[in-house]
Amino acid sequence: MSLDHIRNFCIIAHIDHGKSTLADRLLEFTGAIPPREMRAQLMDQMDLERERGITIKAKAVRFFYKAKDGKKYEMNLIDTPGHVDFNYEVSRSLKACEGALLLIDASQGVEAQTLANAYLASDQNLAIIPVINKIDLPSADVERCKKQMEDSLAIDGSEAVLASAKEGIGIEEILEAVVTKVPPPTGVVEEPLKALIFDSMFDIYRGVMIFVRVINGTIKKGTKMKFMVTGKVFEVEEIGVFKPKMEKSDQLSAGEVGYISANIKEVADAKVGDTITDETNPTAEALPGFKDVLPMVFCGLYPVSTDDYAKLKEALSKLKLSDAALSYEPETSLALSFGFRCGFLGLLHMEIVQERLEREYDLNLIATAPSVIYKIKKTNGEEVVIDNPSELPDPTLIDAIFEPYIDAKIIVPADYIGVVMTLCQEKRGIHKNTSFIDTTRAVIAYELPLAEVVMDFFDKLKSATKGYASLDYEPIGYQEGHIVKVDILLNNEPVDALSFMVHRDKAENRGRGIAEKLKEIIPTQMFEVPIQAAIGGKVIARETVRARRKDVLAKCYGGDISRKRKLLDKQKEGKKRMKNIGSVEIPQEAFMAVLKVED
Amino acid sequence: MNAYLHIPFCTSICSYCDFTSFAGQETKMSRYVDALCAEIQSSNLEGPLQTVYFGGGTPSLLLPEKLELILKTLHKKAGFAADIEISMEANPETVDLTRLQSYRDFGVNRLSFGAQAFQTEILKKLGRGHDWARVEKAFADARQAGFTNINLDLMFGLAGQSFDQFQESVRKVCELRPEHISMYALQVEEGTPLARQVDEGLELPSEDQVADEYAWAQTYLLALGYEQYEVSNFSNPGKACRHNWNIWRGEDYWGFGLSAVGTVGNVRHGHGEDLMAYIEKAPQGYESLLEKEVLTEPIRAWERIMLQFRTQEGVLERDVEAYVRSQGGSSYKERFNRFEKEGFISLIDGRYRATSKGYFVLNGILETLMV
Repeated sequence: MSLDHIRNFCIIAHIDHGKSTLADRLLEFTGAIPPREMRAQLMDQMDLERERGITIKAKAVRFFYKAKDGKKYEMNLIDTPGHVDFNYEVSRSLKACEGALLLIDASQGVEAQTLANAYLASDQNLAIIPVINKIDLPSADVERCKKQMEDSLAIDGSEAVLASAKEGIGIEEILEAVVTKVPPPTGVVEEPLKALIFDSMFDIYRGVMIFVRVINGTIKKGTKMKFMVTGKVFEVEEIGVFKPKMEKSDQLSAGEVGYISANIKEVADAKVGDTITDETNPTAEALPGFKDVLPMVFCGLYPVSTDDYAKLKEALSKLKLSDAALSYEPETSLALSFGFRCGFLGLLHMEIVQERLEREYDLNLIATAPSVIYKIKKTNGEEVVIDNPSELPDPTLIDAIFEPYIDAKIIVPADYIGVVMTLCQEKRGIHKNTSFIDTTRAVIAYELPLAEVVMDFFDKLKSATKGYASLDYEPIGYQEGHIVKVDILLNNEPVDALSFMVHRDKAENRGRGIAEKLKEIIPTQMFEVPIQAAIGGKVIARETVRARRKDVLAKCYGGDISRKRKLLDKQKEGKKRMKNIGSVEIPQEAFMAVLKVED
Repeated sequence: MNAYLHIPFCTSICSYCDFTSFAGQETKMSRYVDALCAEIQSSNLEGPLQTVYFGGGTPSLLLPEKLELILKTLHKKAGFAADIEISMEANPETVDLTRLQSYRDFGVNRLSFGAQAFQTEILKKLGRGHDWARVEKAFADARQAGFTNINLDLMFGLAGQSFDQFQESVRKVCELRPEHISMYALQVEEGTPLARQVDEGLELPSEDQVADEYAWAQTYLLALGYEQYEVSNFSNPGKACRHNWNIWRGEDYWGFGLSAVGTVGNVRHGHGEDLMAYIEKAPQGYESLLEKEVLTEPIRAWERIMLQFRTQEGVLERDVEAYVRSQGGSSYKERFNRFEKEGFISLIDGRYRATSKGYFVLNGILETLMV
């Protein structure tokens, strides 16, 4: 059977360059959805995604397009996540395609994720169709975009389709370009089944739904499919495509894209990148490129009210069903009592999970400072890996500590090169090179310790460049660093939730910062409260909350007794809401403020 | 038995005061006194009375014959103990020798003058109607009238008063050699003109200054032979206010009159704050006037601890232990040991007492005992 009538493609773009709007317009133009009846930006399902203007989970939509050559094409549009945290998922989505629309905002030009995604797409040998979007905006500068494209991406600017997804300009040209420039899929229906899981999602009614691209063979209801990495076998219960509404179909064959549900309980059983084959007639070799996604950023999540621990546990286990990249395990803190050490793909992922927990599960959470995975070489030659300062072995047993680095590419208007380099320098960055996309915009490449980036790098970068900088990064392995663990002591007792790992050169600064902040927020107590930051036994910063001079010295006669009693009750109630840390009472909110560490 | 009587009339209202009192309503005083007497008569007050306390408001606005009427009513109702203490609050500008002599003749044997401060400008800011000369005059008149038990009220932590000015006020008060000195920290009470002034930016002395003033006064008064027998009260030996002492000890007391509070057995009673309603309802008998709060045994135990800790008598260790245990509380002991070590409290002969230093942070000490 010929696959000439099929086109599998995706849209890749920097955040906010109009990906979702373009997807909507393509569906609308081809009649897959009736205009105006649709929900705006249909492919972003979750509220949260819509609010953030990003797409967390890719989905595939099938629609048909009758091209100018008179033939009808089956178009499979595969949506891709747009953020660095989900790079691996993006790469798997690209694997399911033969072509990509590279969407560039006409007024913004090439941004960090434009570059990153374009590189990913060309690595996969996809046909790239450049589209310059938002050309209707007064600030649009099409020529500049073309020039940037040529200089930084080596893509012929004259091939770019000029469009405005919002205004419906250029939509047909885009569809024609997909038909003519994206090659049809290759694959052999007669071969044993080989399909790629390029995404999955969890539905509370159906369990896990996986999105697949069939490479060879055919999959249908009843097929005993085997996941080659996990080794698990499931019987296909339902098969179909999104058009964009879910529609069952009989089968998916080589070259096609669709969804499968099969009584899979959690997404971790159907790993993105895994290969599906038919257990009864297996393919010899799995598809290359599978990677287990591993969390890179960790933090402790604790319920503000300790009563909510069970609720948090339940919420995490539910989230885990739909989010394979999330990891969690119980953790106990003297200061925060019971919670979980959670692992995330990156900062955005961490933020999304926290927000979903608070919003969808109605939880009020405290998060400890984010941390990364350190590799410790012990003096006895043993190597240990830690994601929590509390796990650090005794310093006398440590030979060396290695910390993860990333390769960061920051695109900024030339005016901001100086401030960005200063910031990266402050963050212990190693400058790799600076190149120019055009005369006004530069790509600054740095190797940065991930630990520095997870603290507050994004915020600092944003404010230093008035929001003009865009950032993309990828992990590049470990380097030795002079890393120490700093403990914060209240009343000479360490507060576990405030311990952190940091480069020795920055230990004083950050330790002092936390001590000062604590001094500000700790209400005066009956006794003086010493606050110390210490590395092992060595105090590197010290503050003191002096003792309270007086509480109320009011009179109390016969008519005042009830009132006085109630006043004390109220004060006591207030104290109950405080965290008792090192026999020091600290208001909950204040303690949370300290956890939000800044340099 | 002890009785408190509230006289809710003033010539003007002080900026910090949140007691129930009315200015410019003096024409209602006569009817109010009738209502008060009606309440006393109809009550089931049982004597003999050990102490009677006229508070306000400004009780010294009472014409002597009205005071006589009230005391006679009380006497008839409950009888007086032979050594009864009859206290009366008075504003210096409202009294003269004749009036004080009459009060004395009718049985008042303890006077409490609201002196508050020495400096005229400070007194004015507080809304007081006197200056220091009036304090001296009233005090001299009281002595001449035969009063041998006189208290002067003095405030600290006042807006606009420097530490030096506070010291000057204390010295001036002491020059008069009153038997008793009440020293209050200014409290900003909700709904008072002072609270509004503070909202509008009136600056109050720092916590440090307030604490320094209190500490200095403690030392100064001690050196002059005064005893601090309660957080806010100092007296010559044997001259403590018995009325208040009895209440702090947990004895029963009746409250009569508008807004007056009393506690008899396990019931605390109060009155509303509506003057006309009080006057009109009083003839129907005292029950119609009262708002009641039942005090459970744990609350009474707690209040006793709370009040006794304010006094030099202190609290029995076993009472503290029994209370904490009854509340299912865990160890207060560790914390109390530290308080003792740091000199906030003493434990002598099975009795906890707040030290002069401990009075500063009594709330913090008490909170330790709460579950």
